[in-house]
Amino acid sequence: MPQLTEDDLYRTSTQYRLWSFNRESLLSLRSTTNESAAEGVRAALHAQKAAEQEQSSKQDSNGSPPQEVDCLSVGEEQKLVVFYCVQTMRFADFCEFPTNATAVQYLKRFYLSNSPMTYHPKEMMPSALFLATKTENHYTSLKSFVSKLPKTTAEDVVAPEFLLTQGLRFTFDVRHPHRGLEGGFMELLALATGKGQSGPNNGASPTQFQKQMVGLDPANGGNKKSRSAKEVVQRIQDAHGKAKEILKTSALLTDAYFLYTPSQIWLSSLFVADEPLARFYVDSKFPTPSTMKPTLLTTLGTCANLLRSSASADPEDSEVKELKRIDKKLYKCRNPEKIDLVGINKAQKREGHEDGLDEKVIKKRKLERERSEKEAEDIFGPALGIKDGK
Amino acid sequence: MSKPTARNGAPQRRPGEEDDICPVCKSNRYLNPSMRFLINPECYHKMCESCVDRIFSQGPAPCPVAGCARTLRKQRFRKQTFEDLQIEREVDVRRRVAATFNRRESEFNTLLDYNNYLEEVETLTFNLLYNIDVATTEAKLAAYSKQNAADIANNKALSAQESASTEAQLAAQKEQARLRREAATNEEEEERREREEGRREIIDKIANSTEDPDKIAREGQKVVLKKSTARRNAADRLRAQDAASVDNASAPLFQIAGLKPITQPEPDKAYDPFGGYIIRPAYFTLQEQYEHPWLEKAKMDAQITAGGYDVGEYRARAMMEAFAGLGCFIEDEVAGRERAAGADVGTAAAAVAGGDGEGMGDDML
Repeated sequence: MPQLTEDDLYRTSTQYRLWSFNRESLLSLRSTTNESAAEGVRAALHAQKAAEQEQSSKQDSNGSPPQEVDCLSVGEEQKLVVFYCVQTMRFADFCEFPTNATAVQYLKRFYLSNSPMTYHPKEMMPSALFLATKTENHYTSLKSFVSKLPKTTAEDVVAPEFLLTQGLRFTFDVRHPHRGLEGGFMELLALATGKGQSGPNNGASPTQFQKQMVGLDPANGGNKKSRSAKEVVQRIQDAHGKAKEILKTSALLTDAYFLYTPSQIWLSSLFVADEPLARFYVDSKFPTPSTMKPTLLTTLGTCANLLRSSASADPEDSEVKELKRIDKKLYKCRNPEKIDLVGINKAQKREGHEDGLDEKVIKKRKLERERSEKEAEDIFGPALGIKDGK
Repeated sequence: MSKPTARNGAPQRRPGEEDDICPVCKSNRYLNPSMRFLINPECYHKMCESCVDRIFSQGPAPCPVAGCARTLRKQRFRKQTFEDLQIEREVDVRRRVAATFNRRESEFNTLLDYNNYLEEVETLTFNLLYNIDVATTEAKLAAYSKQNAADIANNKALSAQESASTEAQLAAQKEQARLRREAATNEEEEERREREEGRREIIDKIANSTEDPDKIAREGQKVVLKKSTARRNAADRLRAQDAASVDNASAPLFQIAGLKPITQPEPDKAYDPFGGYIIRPAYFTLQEQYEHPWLEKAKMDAQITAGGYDVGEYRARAMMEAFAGLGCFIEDEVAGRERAAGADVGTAAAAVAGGDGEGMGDDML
């Protein structure tokens, strides 16, 4: 009978199949997205300008030569997206939603194939959060959700939703490292209290583990060695708290979810929090020299570095200044065709998308329909003789 | 075609005329407007209702038509369905044969076997219809129905199930049960009657003879016992014979080739949500007990456990998630995946999303 390991199970997830990249492919994906978005912006702005010129040339013919638009770079886009991820987390905290991690990942995934120049993150943010409440089984009615947002209508939240799901390629499952951390924490505690076993590969007895743990080096340059099992438990709890904090912020704001698997992410966060403990834990999983262990350790090391280098969840003044500059720049280089998301959504719903139909025709039809609806409501039909002006 | 007509005795007449005059009493519709004609499937001679009442009310009597000496019973007289009595008879015969030979196509191995069977049945029917070898044919029919009683009943039930609702089937079952019960009571009744008779005989003997009454009584008792054992033995023998004749397939009078062996459907296997895969963790062994402050609380909390929440599920899930993908090194695996290229749907989709994600968005709007 065929056997499956944890890795095989993870390989079936959409997160592995569709949303895992290496650094190069991630970068090239972002730059192609940026380029095509910039092209779209330029084309749209040109079209707009051409239309304006046509109108103004009827009055006077000294139109200014078309200026080249200064679009955002990949780095700037990234900073902006991260900032709005932070905003999402803050907002979710404010609303007491436990779904912020999923919402942030939705935004990050969406902006892999879409650019902030096309769809502003500020508009996508509420939609992502609302979608996350639905996919993470934390039901909130649209009404109560909207009531918590300033200057937002229900339509603003719902309009970009389909766009978002499209950008997510209809995969809503996000594998988080949080529960994994709890599992690891459970097992570490069991080892520390002398009641646990590390795994099928390690035959050491529970008491041996307990002894080894007491003898571990102190965490992060401290000089106080733990002396009893009780102190070890305390140490594990401290590490757990720190790792949890890292998973809540750095892991979400960096590209860790794209580059590593959830179990690697939480182990890396444990590395950041308490390296000797994490090393002991990995060693206990691979007691015999194996080819996997060095690869795993280097992977965990790079992941830990990534987590350390994360943007702060609390941006400083200089960063805020930079963000403001980017936002100003974005104001000039937004795609004018995609600004009115609510309008686009409405048009899509009412008209479907009929190719080759002029906007004028659509408008005319709409007017006609409205008129006929109005007339239908009138019990005795349209008034007589008004057309003649009598 | 010619034989029944000859037995009918009367020359061919126009249908209207025949309809109106009873061939037995010669009364006609003019005198008796409510006249109804009846036939008996024994010989298919037609006569009016009043003739039937007159002749057969006293019990079975020979057919009044000249040259036909068959004994008819009033009970079996019925209205004819078809104008042509030949057809009436054919339908009856076919119905009788079809009730016995009710095998289905699905019971045969090949279509050829089924067709051979149909051919054979048709030959039998034809023989019965045109009175060819009637004795052997009837013997064959009887033999077949005896040998295959179970199958016949089964197929009959099946067709009944198909044609009528399940209710009808239930009724049939009830009817069968009733018949069985009736047979059992009949047997009992007979036994009781015999015992009674034996006793009466003994009393008669005692009354009429001068022999020692005790001796007579003893002998009579013996006779009664002998009779009852003989009867029981006879019944047993009959049953055994029936069973033997069913079992004994080597010497049947009528055998059908190419019947499918009946196979019992295999019982369903237990449902396996993982489709035969075993999930065997490589990095951890799940324990019954973990030190976790929150878990301990949850285990005790009635609010959580009342709904059926199993803390063990959480343990298993958390441990599984802790190590799911520990050995998936995306850096290497993604590179390999991209090298393997086009065939993989995931990467193809990723290429689409990466290459012209914007374009896709444009299309949809």
